[in-house]
Amino acid sequence: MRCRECNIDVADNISCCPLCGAEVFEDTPALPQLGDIPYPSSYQPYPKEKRTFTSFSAAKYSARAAAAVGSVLNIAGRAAHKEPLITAASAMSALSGAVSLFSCLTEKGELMKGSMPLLISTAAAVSCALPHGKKHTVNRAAAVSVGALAVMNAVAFLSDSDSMREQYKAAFRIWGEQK
Amino acid sequence: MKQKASGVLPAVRKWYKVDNAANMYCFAQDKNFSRTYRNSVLLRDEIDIPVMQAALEKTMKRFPTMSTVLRSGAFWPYLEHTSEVPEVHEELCRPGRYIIHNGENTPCSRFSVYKNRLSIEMFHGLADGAGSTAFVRTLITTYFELKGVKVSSYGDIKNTADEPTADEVEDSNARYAEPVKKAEKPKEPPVYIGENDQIKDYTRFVFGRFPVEDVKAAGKKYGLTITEYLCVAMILMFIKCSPETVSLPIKISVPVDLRRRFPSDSVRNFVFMTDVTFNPQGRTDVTFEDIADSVRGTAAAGATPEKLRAAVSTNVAAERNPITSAVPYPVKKAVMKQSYLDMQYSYTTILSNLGEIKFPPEIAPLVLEADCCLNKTPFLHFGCAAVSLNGIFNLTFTSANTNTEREKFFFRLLSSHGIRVRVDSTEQA
Ligand SMILES: [Zn+2]
Repeated sequence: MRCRECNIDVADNISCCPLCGAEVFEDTPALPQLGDIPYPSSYQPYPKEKRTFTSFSAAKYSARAAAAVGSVLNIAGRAAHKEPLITAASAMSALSGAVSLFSCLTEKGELMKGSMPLLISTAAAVSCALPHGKKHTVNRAAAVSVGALAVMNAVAFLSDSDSMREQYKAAFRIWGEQK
Repeated sequence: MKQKASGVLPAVRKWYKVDNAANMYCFAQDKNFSRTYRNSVLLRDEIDIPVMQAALEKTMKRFPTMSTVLRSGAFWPYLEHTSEVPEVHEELCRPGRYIIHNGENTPCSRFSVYKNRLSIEMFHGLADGAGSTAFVRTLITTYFELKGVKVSSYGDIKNTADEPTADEVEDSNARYAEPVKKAEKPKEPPVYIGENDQIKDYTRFVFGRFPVEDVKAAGKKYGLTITEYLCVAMILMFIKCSPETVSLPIKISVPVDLRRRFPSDSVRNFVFMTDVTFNPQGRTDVTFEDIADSVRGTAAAGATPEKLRAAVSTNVAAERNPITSAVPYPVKKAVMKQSYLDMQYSYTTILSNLGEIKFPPEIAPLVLEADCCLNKTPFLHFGCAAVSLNGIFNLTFTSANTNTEREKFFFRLLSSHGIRVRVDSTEQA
């Protein structure tokens, strides 16, 4: 089939030109060796993107949420000089660290695939550990969190699990090629 | 200059550093978008899906970097190797869907079959056009071998019986980069972007096929290479199809396969964007000859080995900067994403010409057509990619809306230059 308006060959199974919409005619094609490119005549809508939610995802999001809430409380507490708020913040970041650690130990390095909770909980823990007022409660809670992270990193790095160590190296690559 | 990467690292690794040219694609992707493109091949006979699945399993092992999942590290994105092979499925949805990386085990490629057509959609972070073409050639050759076709010589096609090599998975950008003092890029002036209406979940491909000899002859008349000829036609198309007069430069971004300039066997990203630019300065009476005279030779001049090496070196230097490296991933992603967005408005459109695809003589008659399509992005609603097979050039326009004025102008122009054209579309007229 050909479109006389565009002077082009078009598919055999269509009645109007895909470019100009004009009626097409059964003329001798200029390129008889070319066949149709098959495409469905109608399409199904795109399937919804699958977002799997596993225990790992749950741990990851709880760690993130705890660290985020902790950070906000921490900043608010420090701004208002409210010791209980800072203590609550520390507790949150400790919780974040603990959840991350638990997830790391139970999922064999899976946590390293998403290093965000680690980063956030580290930041939250460190910010809570900064000196302020009656430091005892604060420091104790923050120390738990930092300690949990340290253990987690050590477990990941020293573990016999190649997969875990590799994940660790990949997630924490700073620069250069892997060695 | 660093020497060959051979023997330094095994080809099959648990994870791969994202190569320099691909970092941007990894930073730019989010839960709604990722830079994706599509290669299709049309076989003579209907495709046997289980055999294609078996061929894919063998091919994925041969191309370990294609068999990866995108992950975010503390500082950089990286690709984690996976033994899971994507499923070859029947194509029922409109083409052009993004590949979304949701942080779980989403593969970076999608394989679908419709009758005798196989389509491969791939995240650009894995490979450029040349890399994916190498993959497609191996996949199709393996498929026919499994169907009982005896292949006498693989030539430069990667054989699944061989092991992948370190050279194939290397980041060639890093290999050819030289130390640079200052990693600074000049500020780009604004360019013509054009009307860019986008319909949600809608992508239309318009395939224009014409003999390579026809377009070569048409280009020769104006002293232009094939790529230059097509760029001139596209520039004229933008001028004539714009509802307003165009007073900004029209810039057609043309990826240059660096493997043709610097020896490399990498199947990853080793490409650099050069451009063909013309400023109509508000004139509407611009002719094809005017543009041809202005752009003749500029594509080649912008892609000299010195210029290409300097550009690659600048990009690699930016990545190797210790301060940049130490910035945590989320911060880096936010900054890089913004710079990706800015980059999207630095050209009018893309013309990506993958060149010729060849298959072994026993398989060539069984492969009728090949095409390459750029997927739309939230910024680029109109793009163009081309590939040639068996002497036929297949140029595909991607559009995110139903307007066909530009494609109509372009193919009518080619036809008026004596090029025999056939046009097909993924949307029924
Ligand atoms: Zn027409």
